[in-house]
Amino acid sequence: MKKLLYARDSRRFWQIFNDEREMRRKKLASLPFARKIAIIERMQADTKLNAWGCEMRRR
Amino acid sequence: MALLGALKTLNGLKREGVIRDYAICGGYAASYYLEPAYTYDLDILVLLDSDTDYHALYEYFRQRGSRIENVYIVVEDVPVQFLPSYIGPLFSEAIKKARRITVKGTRTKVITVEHLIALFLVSFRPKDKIRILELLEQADKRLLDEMLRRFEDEKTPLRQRFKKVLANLQ
Repeated sequence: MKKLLYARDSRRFWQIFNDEREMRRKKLASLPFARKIAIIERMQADTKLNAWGCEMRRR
Repeated sequence: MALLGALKTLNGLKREGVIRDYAICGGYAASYYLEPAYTYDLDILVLLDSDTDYHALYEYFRQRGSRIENVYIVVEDVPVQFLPSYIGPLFSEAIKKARRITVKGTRTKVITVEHLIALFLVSFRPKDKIRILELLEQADKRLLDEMLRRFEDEKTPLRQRFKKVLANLQ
């Protein structure tokens, strides 16, 4: 994140952005399946639809 | 963890002989190999001989008062979609060759990354194409090619679809 703040041009910004995103993706992918299930279940709880199926409600 | 409860119920089905075997596929299987991503339901491949067995499976849950919503049976609060193996040889092979895993002491099976890619090539929705690209780094390319050759037909030209997905990389 710190590196992003100091990126002066667009090319450099997106390079850092993509590298950091890829790093986070890899870190999440290496979690044990049970941890991943817990994360998915939290996402499911966060996106419960209302009775009309149109409004998103956050906890 | 609701999913663990659902998996325990599925293991019970196996013990009681309602199904011969099962394996996790779809979004949860993708999350097993990749980073966790939102999914609404749990897709389960079930090893069944005929549609009579499939009806018996639904009847089993109906008699126990389980909620049945559209294509889902709600098992321990988890909407589960059961995909019967008799609809194609790829489905039954995916169950038979699935990886055995243990989640917090509960035994279960997840289909291999190559079978998951092949099944995404069957469903071939926009989100499936993205997942195929992400799963590719973990796949054995020779095994995948051999599988796509074996399971493709006129209606589902798996290798042609695979080439289309790869073309998006360039």
